[in-house]
Amino acid sequence: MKYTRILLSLLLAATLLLSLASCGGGKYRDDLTAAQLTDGITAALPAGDGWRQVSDAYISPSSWGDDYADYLAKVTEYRILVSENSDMNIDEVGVFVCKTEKDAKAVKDFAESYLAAKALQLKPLLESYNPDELPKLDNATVNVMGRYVVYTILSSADTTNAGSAMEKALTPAE
Amino acid sequence: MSTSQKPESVERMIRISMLVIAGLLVMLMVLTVVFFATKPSDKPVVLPGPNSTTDATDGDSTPTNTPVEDGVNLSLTPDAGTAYQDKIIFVGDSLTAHLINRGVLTGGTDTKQVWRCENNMMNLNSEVTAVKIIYPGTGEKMTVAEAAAKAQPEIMIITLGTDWGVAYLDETEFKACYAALVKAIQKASPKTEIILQSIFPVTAGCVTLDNTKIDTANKWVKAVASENGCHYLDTQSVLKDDKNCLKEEYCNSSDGIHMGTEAYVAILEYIRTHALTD
Repeated sequence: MKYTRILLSLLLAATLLLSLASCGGGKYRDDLTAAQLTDGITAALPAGDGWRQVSDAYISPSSWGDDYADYLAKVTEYRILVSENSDMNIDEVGVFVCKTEKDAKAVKDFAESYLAAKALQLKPLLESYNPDELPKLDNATVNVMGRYVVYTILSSADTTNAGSAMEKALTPAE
Repeated sequence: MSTSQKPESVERMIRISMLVIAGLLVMLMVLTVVFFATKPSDKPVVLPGPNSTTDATDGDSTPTNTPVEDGVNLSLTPDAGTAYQDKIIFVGDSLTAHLINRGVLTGGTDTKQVWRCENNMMNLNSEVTAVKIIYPGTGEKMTVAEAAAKAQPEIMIITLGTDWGVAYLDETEFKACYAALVKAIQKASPKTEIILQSIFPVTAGCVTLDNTKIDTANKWVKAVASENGCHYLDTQSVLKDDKNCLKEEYCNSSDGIHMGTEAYVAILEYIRTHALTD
């Protein structure tokens, strides 16, 4: 009897632990590709000049840091879109699909460092050539949703719309 | 045994000793000859190089007005005249775009020889092959390679690096980005003679760029030209004062970068007097 009570207690504790573990994750979907998510976000933004995907050389030491390869090792895939009219319009949307949620936290730092470096590098040029675009650098945002890290460089209104589109795309259907 | 006869072992020892001493003397003589023949001098030996202009490693930036003949640098020629100048398409950032508003080309402010972006900014970075220029005459926006495919220009002078490249790229990225653009143009218009023009200097008061970095970057520009079958035009050499800076009279902007009409006249004269030859 004594041993039965101990066994039942242990079983109950294990059940509780398992249920707690399953509650921790699962808030966001993790089955979208980077392309699906970026398309979902840009579909919520004004058509404007259209978007193009950047080259593979876009993530490089000059803007992303010498340790960029270490961060890309935490990512299964990524996609970065910029405006087709990029000399006049600095709109940018980047999605990193990370291997784990823990990796997503590190990649968030990676994206934030990139945005800080980009602001430093681009501000002097924009002040001379395209000052209307400067506020977008201040609006730059990084969001982490499960395994997804999404950064945007957009106007204030577009940043809000992009955020809503991300939530909608990554929230599981009920 | 007589006392005059030494034992065999002693004789052998004497022979061996003499051989050893002889060997040591020979070694000493050889070492002496070697030491005095190859004594290191106090000054490093300077080998003649292909380019007598700046060396980024020693920080001495002494420009020259005479490009060295090395098959890449365009060397001094008689003035090829406006007929030559009129064949050239100029591609670049605002420093190229100002050829339009300075009115120094044959078409004046209506020239169709300048390919520039809408805001005159053309960053030398990984996206330089994708950036769109305004195609003169039609106003269409297209990449430089697309424009080259359309126009098939005889000669193209590209001047890039002031925007982004000098300030933010290391040698590897700089050369890779520039080479990517050159290759895209060559694929689109294989018969176009591509000339990579040196990045222009800045005044001593410029706070965003410095001439030491520009001089280093110009070595990279020349290397890209050499590695991709292009020519290099050392135009910066006629724009500098004796302090290796842009001549103050050539600068017309407080940023220390942008130049007035007089500078562009000098640039075009340099281009015509360092012309491509058949």
